[in-house]
Amino acid sequence: MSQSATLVKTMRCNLMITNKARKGIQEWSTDEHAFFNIQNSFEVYIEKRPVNNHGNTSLSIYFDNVTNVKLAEKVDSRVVVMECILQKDGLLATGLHVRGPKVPVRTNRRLAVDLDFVTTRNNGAGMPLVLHTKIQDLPVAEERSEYVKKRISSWEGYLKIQERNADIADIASPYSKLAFNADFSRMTLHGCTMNANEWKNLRGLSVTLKGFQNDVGDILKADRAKQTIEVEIKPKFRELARKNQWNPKSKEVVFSNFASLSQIRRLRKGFEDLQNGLAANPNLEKILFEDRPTIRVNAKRRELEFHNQLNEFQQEAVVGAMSAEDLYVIQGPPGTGKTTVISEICQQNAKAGLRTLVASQSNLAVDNALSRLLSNKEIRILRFGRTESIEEEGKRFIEENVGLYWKEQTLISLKKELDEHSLREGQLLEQIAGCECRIEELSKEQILIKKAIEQKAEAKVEHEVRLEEIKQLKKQIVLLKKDREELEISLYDVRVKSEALAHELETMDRFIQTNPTREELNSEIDQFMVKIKDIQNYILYKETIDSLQQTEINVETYREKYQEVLVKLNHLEMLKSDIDSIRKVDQLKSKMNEYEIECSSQLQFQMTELDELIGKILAFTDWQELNSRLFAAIDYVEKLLQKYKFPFENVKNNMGRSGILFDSEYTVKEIHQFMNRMKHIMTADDELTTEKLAILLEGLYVREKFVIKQKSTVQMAKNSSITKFQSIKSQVLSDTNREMMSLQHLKTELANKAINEKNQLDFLQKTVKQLEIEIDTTKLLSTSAELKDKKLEMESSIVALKKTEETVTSYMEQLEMKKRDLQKVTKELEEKEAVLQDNELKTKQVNADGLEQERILKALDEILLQNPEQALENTVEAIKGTKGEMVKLQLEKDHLPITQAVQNEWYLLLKEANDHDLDEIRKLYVRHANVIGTTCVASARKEFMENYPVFDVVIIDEVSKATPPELLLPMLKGKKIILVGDHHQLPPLVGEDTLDETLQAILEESDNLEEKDELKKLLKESLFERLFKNLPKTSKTMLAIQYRMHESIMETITPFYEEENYRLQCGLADSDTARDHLLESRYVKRKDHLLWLDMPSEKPYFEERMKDGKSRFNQAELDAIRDVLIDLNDATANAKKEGRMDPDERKSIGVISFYGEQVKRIDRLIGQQANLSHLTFRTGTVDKFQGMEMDVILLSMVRNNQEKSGDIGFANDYRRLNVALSRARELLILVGSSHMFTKRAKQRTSREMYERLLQIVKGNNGLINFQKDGNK
Amino acid sequence: MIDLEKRLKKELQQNVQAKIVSSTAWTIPLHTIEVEYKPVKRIKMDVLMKMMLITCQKAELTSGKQISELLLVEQLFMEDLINIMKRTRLIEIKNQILTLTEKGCNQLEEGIFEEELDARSQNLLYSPSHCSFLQGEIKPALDGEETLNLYRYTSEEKVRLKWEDAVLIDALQTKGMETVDGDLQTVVSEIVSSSELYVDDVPCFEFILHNKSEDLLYARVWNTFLDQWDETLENELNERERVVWREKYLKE
Repeated sequence: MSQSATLVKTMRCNLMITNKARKGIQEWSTDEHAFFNIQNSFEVYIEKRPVNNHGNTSLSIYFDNVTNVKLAEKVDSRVVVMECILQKDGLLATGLHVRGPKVPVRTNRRLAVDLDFVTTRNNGAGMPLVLHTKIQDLPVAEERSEYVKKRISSWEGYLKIQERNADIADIASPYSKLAFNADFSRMTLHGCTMNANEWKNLRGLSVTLKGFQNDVGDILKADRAKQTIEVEIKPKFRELARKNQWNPKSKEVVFSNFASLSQIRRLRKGFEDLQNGLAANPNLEKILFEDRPTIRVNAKRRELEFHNQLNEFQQEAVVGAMSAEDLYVIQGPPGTGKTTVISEICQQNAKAGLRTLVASQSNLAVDNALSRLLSNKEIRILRFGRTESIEEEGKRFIEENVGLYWKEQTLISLKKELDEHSLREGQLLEQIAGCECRIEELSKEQILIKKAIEQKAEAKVEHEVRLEEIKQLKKQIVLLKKDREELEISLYDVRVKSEALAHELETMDRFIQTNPTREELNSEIDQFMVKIKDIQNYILYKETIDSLQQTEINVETYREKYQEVLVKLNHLEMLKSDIDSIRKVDQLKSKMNEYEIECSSQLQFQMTELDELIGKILAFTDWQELNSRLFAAIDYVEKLLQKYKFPFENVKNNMGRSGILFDSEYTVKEIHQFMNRMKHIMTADDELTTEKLAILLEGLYVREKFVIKQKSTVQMAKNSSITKFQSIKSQVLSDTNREMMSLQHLKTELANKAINEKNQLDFLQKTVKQLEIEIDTTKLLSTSAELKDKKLEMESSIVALKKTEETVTSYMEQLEMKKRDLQKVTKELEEKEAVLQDNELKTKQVNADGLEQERILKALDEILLQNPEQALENTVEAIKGTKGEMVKLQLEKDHLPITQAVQNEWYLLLKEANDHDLDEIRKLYVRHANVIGTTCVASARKEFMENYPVFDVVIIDEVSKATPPELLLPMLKGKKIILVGDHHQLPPLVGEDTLDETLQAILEESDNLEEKDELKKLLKESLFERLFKNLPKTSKTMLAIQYRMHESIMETITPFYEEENYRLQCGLADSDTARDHLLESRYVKRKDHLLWLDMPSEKPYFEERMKDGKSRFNQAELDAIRDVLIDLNDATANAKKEGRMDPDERKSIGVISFYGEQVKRIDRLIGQQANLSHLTFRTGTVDKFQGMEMDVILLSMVRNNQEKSGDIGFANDYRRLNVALSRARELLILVGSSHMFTKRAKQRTSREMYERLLQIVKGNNGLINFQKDGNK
Repeated sequence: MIDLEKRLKKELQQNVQAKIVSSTAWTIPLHTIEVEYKPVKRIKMDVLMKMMLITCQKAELTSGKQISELLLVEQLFMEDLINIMKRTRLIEIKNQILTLTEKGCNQLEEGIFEEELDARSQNLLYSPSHCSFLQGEIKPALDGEETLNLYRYTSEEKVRLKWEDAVLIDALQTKGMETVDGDLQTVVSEIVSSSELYVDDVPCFEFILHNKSEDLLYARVWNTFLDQWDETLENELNERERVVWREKYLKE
């Protein structure tokens, strides 16, 4: 279907074959070599498939079943498909099969190439790089289709709406009676019986009666209560009815939805075609689904010659549409000449040899557009569609009539030509003369041009020179600039240096100024020196005195120590002499104490031992006593035992063996206690036995033994204490001797030291005396530390002074030198500044020179830009052309007699031609038809698809009135698409309601959330609006000059277009003259063009609602309308009488309303109740009136109530109001309650909208308060 | 006549909503015009191809474009036809000039050939009330037809009894006076004369109906000549009298 892909020139490609593929081939040929040799090359379409499991790129290659003639013959025009894998060295065929002849071959997803498959081995053909790249770039067809499928599914909702009632089976019903209406356009079937569900689904179905082949019409209304069905009859059957030939065999009727189902089928097919890449424009899917559609924009705008008179906006639209590549969108508010633009585009296309499809949602719009096309030999219009639904204007373009149409057109132009025959010769002569003149002029021009060429050559030379000069100058400037920059840098350096010097000088000067002279400084230093010396003496004096005192103390100390030593020696001597006489240790101790002799540690130890021994000896007295008590006790017990004959000797002998453990150590106290206890036992115990006594005796023995042992120990201690004492005494003696010796030493030492100190003392005393002579000791108030500080201070002052003195000296020396330096630097500075200034001057000069040169160059450029060569060529060409024309004219002149004879004959022959004679012409016409008109849905009819698969340009009119699925059908066929519409007018209609209202109704009914969402999305999206808003400026335009309405009528709709780039303008030069309605009456004055007949918002002016539906009517408005119509009729009669109007003329009046029921009642009013012979009418709902225009429009607004909700229903939609207001050319009369619409309406936006309208009406002085008597 | 009226009434009363408020009958005049014309018999040949053959014979032409300019016919058509004619060897190009072959010449001669037949005459029926020729048969008079008055708006019509030839040829064609017989066709080539013979009066039955449910008044007129409800007459009556009917029939 699509021919978008341009074929690449034939390429050789290596083809390898798998066995499986070979099998496939062998069904048609002996082997692959034979198969691929039946044609030199094949036109194929390569589809890229998803990458296979092995990561290879797999391809399906479709062989065109039309262009590959020989192959097609072989496979009965079926489609050969070869599965391949893309390899580096060629294609590997993995399968080949033959599919049905209708399988699409050319799609937007496939690459069209002409391939020469090379199947011989080692052929070296390989895989052409170009092909490989192109295949790589190819999208994977399935993925792309999936994408489109996903996006287009958002449109499913539209189909769902249509399908709502479509999927029902045929319904059959008997009927009892059948009655026609007044003009046989409708019939009513009575006595129908069906079930409740069937009654519900009837609306819109087509009706077939038993006995008739085709359906006779469509159901308008079904009334279950009355068992009646109203049917709109098709024209063909109306005739039958009139002839009383309506004789059905049996009274049975079948209702079916065949028509709507087939329509939905077509719409679905549209979806699929887009999915499968079958759109004529491969870019279509992007245009439709991308937020910012990428549109190929042709940078070059066409220069066009227009056939129609077009305003600037219309010209813009035509030029834009002609220059566009993919899509162009035109917004056409009411009366802005959309049809003229469409007509012009068709003509331009025809001239360019392009075929155009003009499609629209309604037949009316298609016919309207076609009828306005200029009759022109280049344009061959064909209207496609069901004859009965085509309007009168379109009928002459249907296939069976185009022969006749062509005949008429040709006859007209022939007649014109024949009429001019007599003049023709004169004209030709004149034209020949004209040509001669022109040639002469051109020759003159040629000379001038030649001169210009010479000038240009000179200019060229000069141009070069100037360029070179400019180059030099530029170089100079650069050099100068460089110099200047360097200068500036060094200047800066020098300046810094000079400033530094000056500063230094100043510092020095100031220093010298502020400080004393060198001499002063020196004397000051000397003074300080003297002072320091004094201080030093003081310090020395102080120190000496201190040492003197110290030495005196020392002498005293040594003397005391010497005395002590002498005493000690004395004591020792005494101890030595006493010691022999000392017998007791205590005596020794006290002697030592007396003489203050310390014991040595050894001596101390021995003394302690001795003390212990003495202690032991002393303790023995107790033991003595104890021993005697023990003896007594033992004796007593032995005796006692003897008394009782107890062998106590055994006890003594067995002591220690009896097993009784005795303590080996006892204290005195213990033994006493033991004996006390024994005593107690013997006296108190009555049961005293000998055994017990024995034991006691044993105790006594043990203890006695212990006491005896103690006695010997004491004896030993006595002996050792004597020895000990002796050794102590000798120890003391030796210690004393040793001590005496060391004291003797110390004595001598101290004596020496004392002598030394004495000498020192003498020396110091001498020094002090000397110093006291030298200095004034009375002044000595400060301490020596203070003196030292003072001295330090003075010393640092001296250092500072010395430094100052040095600095001053050096500054004095430097000062002159620096001054000389500064002078030098200053001079340098001046020199450099001078050089810089010079440089600047030079630069300025060079710049000025450059500018001058540039100016000259520009002048030369202008000369060079002129293209006298081209002009010369043009003139040469023109001369040649004119000469050719002259020859032609001459020839024509010569041929004139024959031409005229032939044309005469042709005229007569054609005039007499009948249908048979024209048959061939009709066929030619249809074959070469270049403007084809049809409705959107009809453009998808099978026969149409077959005859016209693709159009160069598809123009869709009234786009906003079609749903996207409807629009898609014609869009699929266009290489270029031009959309014309107005989103400020009403959206698509579904039956009586707009799409929005239907959707709203479905939304209210539906419980399915998902479905609701989907539908809500549809409500939001208007394809046209989205495209118009999102497209780049180059791809759209708005027609902003309207020619239909009187200016003041137009004013009412301008607010709806405020957001657009251009304000709606009135193209009528003088509205009052051009749109003069010529009427003068009770209601209407000549100057009135916009009136509002204001109904009171009170009973009995209120609306009424139909019992069985939502539609409403308003009787008071009907009455008012009748009044107005009668008034207008009279006024028209009057206008005729007064000669303003032709006697046969009728004023065209449209009476419209927001409500269908009101329209029905208006119809009856006009048809039945009033004789309005001077008027001609068209009535309808506002929705149905879109696209129409009338001289006068009456709008019955109907809504008028006192309900709280203040609902104004259909009248809320600004688009509906826009349509309603923009139908009238000369006079618009609104009939309704302004209070209701501007004050009581529920929605604020609605109130504002109507308030604005009311203000405009008032501004035109057009508000009339309706009263029954109808006075203004 | 009464039977017919009854039948019609009965038929109208099928519609329960519609009430016949008035019924009358009257006649309209039907003028019988005798037309004398000359038919010719000629071969069926495409007029454009014929003209091209003639043109090629008469003028020296080299291209479709030239013929196109001469005949004021689309060049595309010319190219197509030239190709067909070349293929069927009716023309050939000799010294760059399109020239008829012998076959072409023969064909053209045949095409031009017209056998003039003897003049014939036909009666056409013209109704001033319809301003057109009607096709149909005058039927035998109905009983009581003579009592009927003339249609009340007849006198206002100015009976035109002069017609352009084209109108008469049209009427003759509609009446089927041109026939096709294989490759040959007989066509009316010329009107020799036309004259009025006589006037018949055709009875018509007029019913005024009122549709109660919709409050509509309308006329039904049965034309006995056409044997159908006559839309033209109904429309005329509706337009002229509807308002009066409302006064007359519904105010009671």
